[in-house]
Amino acid sequence: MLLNPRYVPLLLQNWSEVNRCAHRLNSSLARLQVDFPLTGERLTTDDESLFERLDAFRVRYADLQDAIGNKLFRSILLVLDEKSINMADTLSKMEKYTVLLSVDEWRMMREIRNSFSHDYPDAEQERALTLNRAWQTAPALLQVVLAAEQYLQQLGALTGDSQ
Amino acid sequence: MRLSPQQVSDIVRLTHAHVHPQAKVWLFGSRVDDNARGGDIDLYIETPAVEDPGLAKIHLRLAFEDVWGECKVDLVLHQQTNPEQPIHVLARTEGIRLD
Repeated sequence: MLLNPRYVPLLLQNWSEVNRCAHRLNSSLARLQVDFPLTGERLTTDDESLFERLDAFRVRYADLQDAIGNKLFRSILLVLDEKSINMADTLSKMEKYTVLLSVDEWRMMREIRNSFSHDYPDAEQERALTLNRAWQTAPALLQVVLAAEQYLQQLGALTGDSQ
Repeated sequence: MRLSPQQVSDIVRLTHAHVHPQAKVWLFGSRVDDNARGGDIDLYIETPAVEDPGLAKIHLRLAFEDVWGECKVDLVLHQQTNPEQPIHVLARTEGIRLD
């Protein structure tokens, strides 16, 4: 498929960022393997090392979600010369290209990411449930990266075949 | 208050559906001010205990998006069984009850 060469460098830069974020999230998952699922009680301890690992996990989950949702999806549409009227339309197109398995699953992951930054949890138990939810959905978030890679390979965007 | 009657009705209906039928809702923040412009919709919700408050908030935000399209809604949810935080007092005293 012929891709708009003007936007290919941007796509490759964003793809590189997505991969960097995915690699870091994978490292966090490996380091937290024994800690999940969390309980509210565990979050009342003074285990500073655990909190640092959890903080890194939260940031990396959010960074990957942002890199995919705010950058990669847009640059895919740009190289395809596709217009998107809003985010719902972008997501629907990504589902059509099989980059997303399900728009609803993506929206749920986006809200989980937002719940880290916008909410005021009023108990440790709620914090634990939110982190457990992120932990459970992290594999699906990483799966989006694999699906995107497959799609970009089909387009020839990663090998230069498109130009 | 800068919310339409339809928005108020949607907020109350969806909060009762996705959080708790006895939940109480206040609008607070910049949308309370008739002279301000734009701004997020900040909602304070007081509710009897719910099993997973974080998930309830996620479902409620998604429901607003389904009804209104892309929108920025910030939710502060307080289960009455938990201690009150300063943000809860502020939102309730400076906010406008919607239900």
